[in-house]
Amino acid sequence: MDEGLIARRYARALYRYALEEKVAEEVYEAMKAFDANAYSHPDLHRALGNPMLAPEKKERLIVAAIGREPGEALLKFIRLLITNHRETYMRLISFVYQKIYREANGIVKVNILTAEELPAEAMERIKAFVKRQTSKAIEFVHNVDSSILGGFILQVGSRQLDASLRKELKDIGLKLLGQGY
Amino acid sequence: MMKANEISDILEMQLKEVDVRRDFEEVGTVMEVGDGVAHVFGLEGVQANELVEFENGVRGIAMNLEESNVGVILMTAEDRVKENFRVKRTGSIASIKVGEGLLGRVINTLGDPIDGAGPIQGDLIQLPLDRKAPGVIYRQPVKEPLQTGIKAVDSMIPIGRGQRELIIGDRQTGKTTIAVDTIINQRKNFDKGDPVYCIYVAIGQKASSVAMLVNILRERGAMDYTVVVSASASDSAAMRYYAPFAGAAIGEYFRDSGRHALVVYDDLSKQAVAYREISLILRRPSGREAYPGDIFYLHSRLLERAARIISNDEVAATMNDLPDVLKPMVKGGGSLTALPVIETQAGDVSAYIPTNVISITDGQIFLETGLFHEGIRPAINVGISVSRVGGNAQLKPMKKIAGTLKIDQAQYRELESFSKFGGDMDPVTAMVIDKGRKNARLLIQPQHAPMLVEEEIAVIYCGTKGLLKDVALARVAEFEKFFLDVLRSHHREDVLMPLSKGVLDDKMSAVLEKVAEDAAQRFKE
Ligand SMILES: Nc1ncnc2c1ncn2[C@@H]1O[C@H](COP(=O)(O)OP(=O)(O)OP(=O)(O)O)[C@@H](O)[C@H]1O
Ligand SMILES: [Mg+2]
Repeated sequence: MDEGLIARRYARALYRYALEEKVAEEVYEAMKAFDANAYSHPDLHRALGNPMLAPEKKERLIVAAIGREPGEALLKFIRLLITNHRETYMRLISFVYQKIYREANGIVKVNILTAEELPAEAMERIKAFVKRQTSKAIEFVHNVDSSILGGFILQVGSRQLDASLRKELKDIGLKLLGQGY
Repeated sequence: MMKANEISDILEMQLKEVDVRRDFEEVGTVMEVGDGVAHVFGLEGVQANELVEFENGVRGIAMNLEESNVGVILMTAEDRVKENFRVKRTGSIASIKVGEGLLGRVINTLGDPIDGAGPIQGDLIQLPLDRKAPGVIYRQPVKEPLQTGIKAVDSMIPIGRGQRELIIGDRQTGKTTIAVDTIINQRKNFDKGDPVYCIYVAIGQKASSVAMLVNILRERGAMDYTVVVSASASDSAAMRYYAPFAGAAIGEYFRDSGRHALVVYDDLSKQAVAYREISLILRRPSGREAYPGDIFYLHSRLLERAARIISNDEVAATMNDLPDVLKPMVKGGGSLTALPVIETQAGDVSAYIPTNVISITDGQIFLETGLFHEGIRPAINVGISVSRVGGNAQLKPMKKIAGTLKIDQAQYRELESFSKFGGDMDPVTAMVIDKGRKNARLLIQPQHAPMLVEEEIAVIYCGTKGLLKDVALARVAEFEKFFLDVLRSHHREDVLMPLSKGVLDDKMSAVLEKVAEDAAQRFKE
C-alpha cells in the first residue's frame, strides 16, 4: 500500500475544494497549526489510531489540535477522513497540503534553528542570504534548541544547511577516530 | 555558551563560505517509528538503499521510496529514534568495510566484530552491500573444480568455481554440514598457497549454534581463510535481511582482486522471512505465501553476484558497477562460488521460495530425511540432485569413472523399491541392486572428514568397476579404509600423485584393481 499516495490524494482533493470555497489560505494556516501541535503532542497520533475512541471524540481532538475555528470546508474534510478511517493520515496530509499550497503560491519555508535567541540584526542577515538564493516568497520560522551548542541549522524547503557547533564537533570527532565516510 | 553577537559573526562568516549546492543536505521529518522502521516525510531525492542519518546520529537505510513517505529501516537502536526527528541523506549507499583483516573473524551485518577479539586490523575499504552482478562479457564459463571433499558431491554433483549450487532439504538433514565440510576442505588450497577464501553467512540461527560452528572451523584450521558473518535469530529483521548482502560484498572483494572465494548463505529461507517481516512493517503489498512480490528478484540479484570473472585483466578492469575503491586492485580470473541453503517443509520443493531459488541456481543438492534416518549420510537424493555446469570442471579421471555413477545409483534406488514388493528377482537385477547398495555404502561419509580428490577417485573407481562384489555389505567401510591405507603407504608416487593431477592410465588402473582385489578378500564375510 502506497501510504504517500493515499495522503496525496486526500491533500489534493482538500486543496481543490478549499480553492473553490476560497479558503485555501485559511486551511493552510490551520494545517500549520495542526502540525505544530502534533509535533509537541506525539500522543495525538496514537489517540487518532485508537479504535475504541468514538468518531466525535476524534473530530474534537483534531479540531482542538488546530486550535482555532477550522471553518466549514475543513470540518467537512475532517469528518470525511474519520468516516473513511483515514484519521491517522491527518499528519501526513497536513504535510502534503502545506507542500502543495507552498508550491502553488511560490512560497518557500525557511526554518532557522539556533542555540540561543537571535538579535534582530542577525536574523535580517540570514533572511537576506536566503532571499539571494530564491525568488520565492519566504515564510520564516525561528526555533531555539540549545543542544546544537552554537552556530545554526538552516532549513530551506526540504534542504538543510547544518552549520551547528554540534555537527562541527562530531565531524572532528569522526576524523580523529578515522571513521569518516 | 556563546553570546548572541558571536553567533551572528559566525553566521556571517559561514554564510559567506556556503557553497549552496554542496553544503545543503536533503532532509525529512520522522512521522512515525515502530518495529524497526521509521516513516519519513521528505527526503525527496533519496535513493534505494541509501544510508540516512537521524539528528542523533543513528543511521538507517531507506527502503520504501514512496513520494511523501519514505520507509527507513533501522539496523539497531530503534528506540533512540523518535517522532519529529529530522533525518538527512548521506549520499552513500549502505556498505561494509572489507579487507584481509576480516579473515578469522566473526562479524555482524554492519562489519562490526562480535567475537570479542578487538577491532578489525589492517586496511579496510568500504564496499556497497548491494551491487549489480558483472555482465556477461566480464564472465567466463565455469571450468575449474571447487572440491568439496565429499565423495558423493564431487563425483555425482560436481561444483565448479563461480557456480551457484543450492543445498536444499528439511530441517536436520545435514545441509549445514555439507557447506561446512566444503569450507574445511579448502584448507588444502590454503596450504598450497592458492586459497579459496570462505565466507559463511549465518542468518537467523541461534547464536549458540553459530558459536559451535565457529569452533569446528577453528579446530580444523579453517578460520585462517574464513570470515563468518552472523545475524542471529535475536538480531533485527534488517540485520538478517542484509547479512547475505554483506557476505556477497566480502566475496566480491576477493573475486574482483583476482582471487577465489566461496560464500555460503545459511539459510535464505530465514532471510526471506526477515524480508517478509520488513515488508509487513512497511505495509507493502504481499503475494504468494505473504512474501512480497519482488522476493524472486531479491534472491536472483544476490545469487547473480557469484561469477567466474574473465581472466583478461584489462577487460576485468572495465567491469560494470565496479566501486572506485576496488579499481586500484582489480584483476581478472577470480571467482565467487555460492552455496545458498534453503530449508523445506516436509520435502516440499514446490513451495514459493524453494521453486524460486531452484530456478535461479545452477543445480541443487537435495537432502532427504528418509535417507538420513536410513544412515545414508550425506542424505543426498541422487535422482533429483543435479549440477548443470560443474561437470566441465571435473578432473578428467573423476569425470570418466563417475560418469554413469549418478544414473546407476538413481536406477538402483528405483529397482530396490520395486524389489520390496517381493517376487523373483532375475540375476541381472540382483546384481544391479547389489552393486548399487555397495556404492551407496561407499558414498557414506562421516561429517567433517573431507577427502583428497585422488582418494575420492580411487574409491569411486572400485565402486563403479564393481570391485566390491565379494565384499560383505556391512564391511564396505572397513574395505574402504584398508584400501586407502594400502594406497597411502605403497602407492603414493605411482597412483595417488598422478591421480591428483588428473592422470589415470592403464598401469595405474591395474594397481587399483590389484589392491582392491586383495582388500576384498579380507572383508568377504
Ligand atoms: N555426514 C554425516 N554423518 C553423520 N552425521 C551427520 C552427517 N551430516 C550431518 N550429520 C549430523 O546431523 C545433524 C544435522 O546436521 P546439520 O546441522 O548439518 O543439518 P541441517 O540440515 O543444517 O540442520 P538445521 O535444519 O538444523 O539447520 C547434526 O547433528 C550433524 O552432526
Ligand atoms: Mg543448518
